[in-house]
Amino acid sequence: METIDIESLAQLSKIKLSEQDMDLYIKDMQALKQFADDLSELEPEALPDYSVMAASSVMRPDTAISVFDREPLLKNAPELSKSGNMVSVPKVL
Amino acid sequence: MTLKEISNNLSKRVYSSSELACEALDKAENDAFGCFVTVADRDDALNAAMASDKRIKSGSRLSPLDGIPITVKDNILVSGMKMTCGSRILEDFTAPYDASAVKRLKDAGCIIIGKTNMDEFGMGSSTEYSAFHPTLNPICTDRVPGGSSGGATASVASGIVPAALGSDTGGSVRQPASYCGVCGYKPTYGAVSRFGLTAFASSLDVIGVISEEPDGCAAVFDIISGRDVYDSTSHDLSDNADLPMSFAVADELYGAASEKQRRAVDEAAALLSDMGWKRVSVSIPSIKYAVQAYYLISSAEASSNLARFDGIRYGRRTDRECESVEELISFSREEGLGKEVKRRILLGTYALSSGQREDWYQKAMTARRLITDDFKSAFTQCGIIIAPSVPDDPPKAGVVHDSPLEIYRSDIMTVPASLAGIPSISIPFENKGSFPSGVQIMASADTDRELLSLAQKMYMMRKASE
Repeated sequence: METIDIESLAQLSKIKLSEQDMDLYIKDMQALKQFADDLSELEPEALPDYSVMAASSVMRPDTAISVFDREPLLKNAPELSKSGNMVSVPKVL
Repeated sequence: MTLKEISNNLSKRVYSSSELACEALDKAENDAFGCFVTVADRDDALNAAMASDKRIKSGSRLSPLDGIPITVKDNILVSGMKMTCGSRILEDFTAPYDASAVKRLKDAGCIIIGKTNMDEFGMGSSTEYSAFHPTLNPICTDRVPGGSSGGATASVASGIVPAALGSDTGGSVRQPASYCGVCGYKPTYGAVSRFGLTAFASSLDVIGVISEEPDGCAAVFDIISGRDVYDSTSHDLSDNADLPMSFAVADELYGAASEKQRRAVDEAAALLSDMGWKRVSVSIPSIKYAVQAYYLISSAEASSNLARFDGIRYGRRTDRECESVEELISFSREEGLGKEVKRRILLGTYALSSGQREDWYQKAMTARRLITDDFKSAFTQCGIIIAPSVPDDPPKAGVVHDSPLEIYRSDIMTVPASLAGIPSISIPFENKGSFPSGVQIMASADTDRELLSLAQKMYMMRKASE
């Protein structure tokens, strides 16, 4: 069976995993891979993709509306700049 | 007491909405079964109830739900209240606005009593995967209440409120309803706006209703359903003619259930026959792919939807000194997300990764198309399809499972309707011995009102025969 590169998967998922967690998840992933093998007999080309949007496309009027207030949104930020009106993050450059 | 009886009593002023709200808040604060993550601010709830009492007194009741206490699952936004989704990463998150369904309930005069416990982000079927505490089954506290809407269901089953909003991605309203002996209804996909419902798997997520009887689910559905400009997949239900009076048992599901659950379906089938419904045979062979397709599709969508929980703009941020934003995000997610959520994100990321997409995601989408088509074709031969809601009685609480697959496989009864986007309601049957067993009634998309009205007839007939 093809091995799963759990380290790169964790990196893609942006989750830092401990060595112990990696062992656990690789076991789970192998089991899930076998489980999903039941689908291998299906031929994707035979049918058009399923889409929840298939029925119709609904448009809304192209008008500007204000949905969110700034204050409660900023209140949820884990760290704000000194001025209190911007979200603060570690140095990027 | 049912929602309808309570509503009538409010109209007749047998008691006031304030009295009802007070009693519900007392019970919620005591929280014997661990239903709640957050109980509403007492003053806020009582002020809303007093306003409702005034309207009732002056004969200007807003709706049949005016003055009715209700709970909301903790993945649906109620402005100013905390919304955690059962996760550490959102432990301190306060909702900045109301979900559309919640806004409609408030506009109809409902009193929100609290936010109910759930498996983290809806990923689980026992409410034991809440980051805060498990919820107990009010019927028997050493069993799980089911999930992920376990808190919502227990809040109805234990008599705190007559109705609760839950959400159902693969059975999260129907399965706990079956375990706790109440009704759990998953509407047609898109019949209720998802605006303000935290996305798990967007193509499957539906806000559903838990209540003692189908009429209670219908009363809430009437208020929350319909087109909403903030959700492009939402739509109004067209007026349907009556359902054709023929039914089928989903043999593929019936065969996978315990004897007791099968007895419940037999009882429902006999009842339908007594009501003059004709039994026919249909085949839905693609059901054998349902659980696999469900887990691949829902995890793929979750891996994308949950990318927003990064500890940057909101949510828990790691205390570690981080050298880069990348590191900050990875550590924040490591600390804030639970084991099952990480597992699904990894699975979904894998299913969508280059080289795997064709083998995994694409095949799951093909299976979904087959399932949808099989249901469509079945509904040309019958009005409804019945099946067990769960494979067996609720499992014992606190049992550690070796493999996630054991739990995933038990979703077989409910995921087919989710993949097909059709409405389905679980109503309690067969109550001999310990637990009631839910029977699921499924119908074609957009026939929700007809389905609910039939479910109510079945529920009443069964009750009368007890």
